[in-house]
Amino acid sequence: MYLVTVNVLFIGVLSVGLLRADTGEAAVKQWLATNRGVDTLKVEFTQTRKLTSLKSVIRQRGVLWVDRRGEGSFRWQTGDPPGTIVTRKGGQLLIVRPRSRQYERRPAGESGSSMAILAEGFPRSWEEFQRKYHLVGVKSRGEVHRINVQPRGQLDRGIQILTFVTGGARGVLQALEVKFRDGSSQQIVFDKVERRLPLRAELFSPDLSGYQATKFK
Amino acid sequence: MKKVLPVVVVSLIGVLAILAIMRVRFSPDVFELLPEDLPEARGMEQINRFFSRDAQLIVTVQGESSRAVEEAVVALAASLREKKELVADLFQELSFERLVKEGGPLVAWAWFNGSSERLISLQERLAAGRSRAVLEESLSRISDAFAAENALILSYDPLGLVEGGPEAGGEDALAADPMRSPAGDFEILYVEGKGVDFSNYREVRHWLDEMRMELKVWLQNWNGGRDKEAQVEVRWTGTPAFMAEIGSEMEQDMTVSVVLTVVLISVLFFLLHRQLAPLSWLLAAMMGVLALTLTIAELALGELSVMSVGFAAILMGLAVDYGIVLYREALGSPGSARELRRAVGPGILWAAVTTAAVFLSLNLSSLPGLAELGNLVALGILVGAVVMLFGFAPLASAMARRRSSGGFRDWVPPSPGNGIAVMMAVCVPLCAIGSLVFGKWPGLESNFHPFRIKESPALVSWNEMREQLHGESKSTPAVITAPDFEQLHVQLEAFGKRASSAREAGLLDRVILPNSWVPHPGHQRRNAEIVRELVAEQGRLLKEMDEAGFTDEGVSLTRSVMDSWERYLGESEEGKVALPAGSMGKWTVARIVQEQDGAVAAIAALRPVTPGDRSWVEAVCDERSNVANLASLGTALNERIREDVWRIFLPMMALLVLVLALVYRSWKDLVLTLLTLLFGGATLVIVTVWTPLSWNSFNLCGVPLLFGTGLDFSIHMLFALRRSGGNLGEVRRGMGKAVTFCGLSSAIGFGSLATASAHGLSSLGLVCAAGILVNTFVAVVLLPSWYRALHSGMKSEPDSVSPVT
Repeated sequence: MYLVTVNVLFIGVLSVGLLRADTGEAAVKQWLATNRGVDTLKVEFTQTRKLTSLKSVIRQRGVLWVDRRGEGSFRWQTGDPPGTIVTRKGGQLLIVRPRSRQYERRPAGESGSSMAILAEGFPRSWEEFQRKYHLVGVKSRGEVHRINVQPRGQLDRGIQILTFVTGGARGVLQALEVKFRDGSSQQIVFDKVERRLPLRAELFSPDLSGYQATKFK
Repeated sequence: MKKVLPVVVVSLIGVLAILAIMRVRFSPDVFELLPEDLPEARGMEQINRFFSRDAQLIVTVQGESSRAVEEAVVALAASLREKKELVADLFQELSFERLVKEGGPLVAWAWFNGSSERLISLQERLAAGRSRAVLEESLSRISDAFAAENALILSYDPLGLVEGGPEAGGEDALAADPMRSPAGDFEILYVEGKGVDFSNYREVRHWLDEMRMELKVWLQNWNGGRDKEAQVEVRWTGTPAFMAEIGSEMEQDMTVSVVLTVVLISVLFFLLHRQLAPLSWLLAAMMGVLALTLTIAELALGELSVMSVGFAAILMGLAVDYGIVLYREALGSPGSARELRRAVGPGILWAAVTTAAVFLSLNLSSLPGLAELGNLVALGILVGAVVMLFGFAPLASAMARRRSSGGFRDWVPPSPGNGIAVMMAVCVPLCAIGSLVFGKWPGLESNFHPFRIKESPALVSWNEMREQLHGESKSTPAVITAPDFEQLHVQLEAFGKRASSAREAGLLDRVILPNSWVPHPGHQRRNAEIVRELVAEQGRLLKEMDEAGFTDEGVSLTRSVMDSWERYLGESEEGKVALPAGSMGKWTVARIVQEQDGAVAAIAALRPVTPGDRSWVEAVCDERSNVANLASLGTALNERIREDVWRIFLPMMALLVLVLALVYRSWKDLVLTLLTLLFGGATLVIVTVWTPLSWNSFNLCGVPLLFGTGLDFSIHMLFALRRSGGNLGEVRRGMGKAVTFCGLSSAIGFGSLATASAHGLSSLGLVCAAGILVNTFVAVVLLPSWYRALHSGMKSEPDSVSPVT
């Protein structure tokens, strides 16, 4: 009787574990399914930076446009009027600071930052997800899933954990959180997401008339 | 008892020889073996002297992901730090947090050491009334930054001290991460060893064995419980690894080549003579020669180099010849030892002196390593002649009295008929010319590095590290030296100008100068006052940062810079040249600038367009500026050896023709000797055109040695032919046997070097063994037929094989 109880408990614990693992993968796949077939995207977001070196948090509102057709392009900007605009078209990254009327072009490969996660668009298949991230775990509360990952390759430097927060019946991405090793963090909450909308090519090639080329530090 | 005695004596002398080998100190330093006047050789020696740390092991960690590698490196570093009996210090890739904490002294030093103009512009930026605007701009950039990482970095440096720090001069010397690959999946850490004398390779080997065990155990534990993608590979390289490897290889080379030579010569002797007692005594004499020569060499040189370890095998192969000559003569004309010495002593002594002279001629070579090898063999040959004449001769005469010369097998092949011999004399040189015309011209290998070890795990790890950290953009270090820092800047200025001109001329495509990392006494003196004023503003600046919203963490870097400036000011007031404080600062600058033995040196980095072409070396180097580039070193060595060969070979050839003419007093014999040499050379040409055997800067120096043996063999044979009145059979059975045995034993001695770990020594051994075999064949088999053909008027007897002679 004792042995039977132990076995039942053991099988139970194992099943819960397997179930949780299944649930985690299922939550990721549910989110990935929402990205499938999405070539163009407009995201209005609120970015909160909590840095250990600053007494107060920094909040900024911004917009991100992603076009995954062809070579892939994006435009990211924060502030209103925008303080910084970053676009990528083909292999070129363009950084524009409207306040100082300066800009810099650099190869897109050098961006190597956590923002590339946003800028390159979200993974659309389990294989692509696994190629880019190592799944650490999924914490679920109701319909909200916190998918904790560690980016693979260069992007993981300095990042302790990256969290995709999904929610709703379809498992849509609601926020992105980055926790840095020094204790600092950044949260990007998606206020409004529009999919499959027509994007003009000029959006990714800002007018630089009157701007001066420079090399930002 | 009589049978046991030789065994006891051989064993005893063998043990003495082994003790002599064990006592020898091997120098793993290969830089001493290169010509000192080459800028590449000087550059390598200076890098070794100034920047290489005997105790610094480089441990490399490679994995599938940067995270796996980063975690492994942190854990490995922590584990190694606990091994206090083995590890004195450890330096690993700095994390961002450590950079913020420890970077202050280096940033402060860079400003203090940089140009006054830049410091004045910083002072203006941070002046009262302006600094708040700087802070506001930084906050705005922190808020707007696209990448959170950039915002993070900026938040620790709102005054822009780091970004405006060291003058990079266009291209920063530290632009590439020196410890981590761009993908992050490869990282290195520097382990400073302790507990042994790191200049002694035997102790280093012991230390490395313990480290290897520690790393192996750690790796097993680390990879044991992890997924494949989290597992890592650990390797090691650096000075201790190279020292232990080269030292061990040298010991092994000497032991293997000596044992192989002794065994093969013994087998050869036994096959040809079927006698054990003389063989035993001969072995004892050879061991005695080796022990004596090693002892003298140790007293004279102190240490043997990676090249000179090969001398023992060559010596064995040559010294045994004297024993054979003595024994053959004793069998032919039994008598006392004195009579034996009187009969063949002069010949042996002259042969020893002339062979020693040939080996001593290697001193004319530009390679000091080869010269050392020649000197040792020459010394050993003279010792060998004395030992054989006074040690082995009495034994040989005693043994010969108990045994007749009959009963030996007739194993030397007979000479062919005149027609065949003459046809070969014509055809082989023609074939050589044809090979040169239709085959590939046997040039010198362009990428040959004679001192490189054939199989070197430390070198494999080193090359992998360079590939991972520097990738395609492999640069060449240049070392600039001066008596002091003031002079070093003058030298750097001049070097910079030459490098710029070379770049404009298309010889270089990248130049990175270390100027801003070299302590600059002049700048420091001029900057002291400005820095003092900046330090006086510390309170105001920190208060403004606090009011702008920066936490204690946010101002820590600025505070550290200010504190460090105070320290440097103190040093400057004491009249000292300030050097960076803090472990990070010291380590960083030590990679680029070093002070040692009353001289200072700095490293620059160049990327030549065509590394193997020496024009860029000539354009940038002078007495004080040298480069360490293997490709151009290979080219330089080849150029030098080509010059050497003509410089040594042609005068030697002319002199020998003259001497031979005087000795022979017969143009026919002179022609025959020259034909022998021509035939040997032609055969080697054919072999090197149609087989993988090739010429390089090292084995080309074996040509004079082959020339010497070819000459030696032909003289012996021609004199024997003269003495016998052209009796080919008698000569073959007498001198033919002796020359054949000498040729085979010498070929064994050289051939055993094919197992040597150093490429140069191994290729020298192979070429010499092949050449000596050709020389032996020509002298013993063809030369008698040519002699008969040329001296057709003489009543010479044709050769024929008898079953027993």
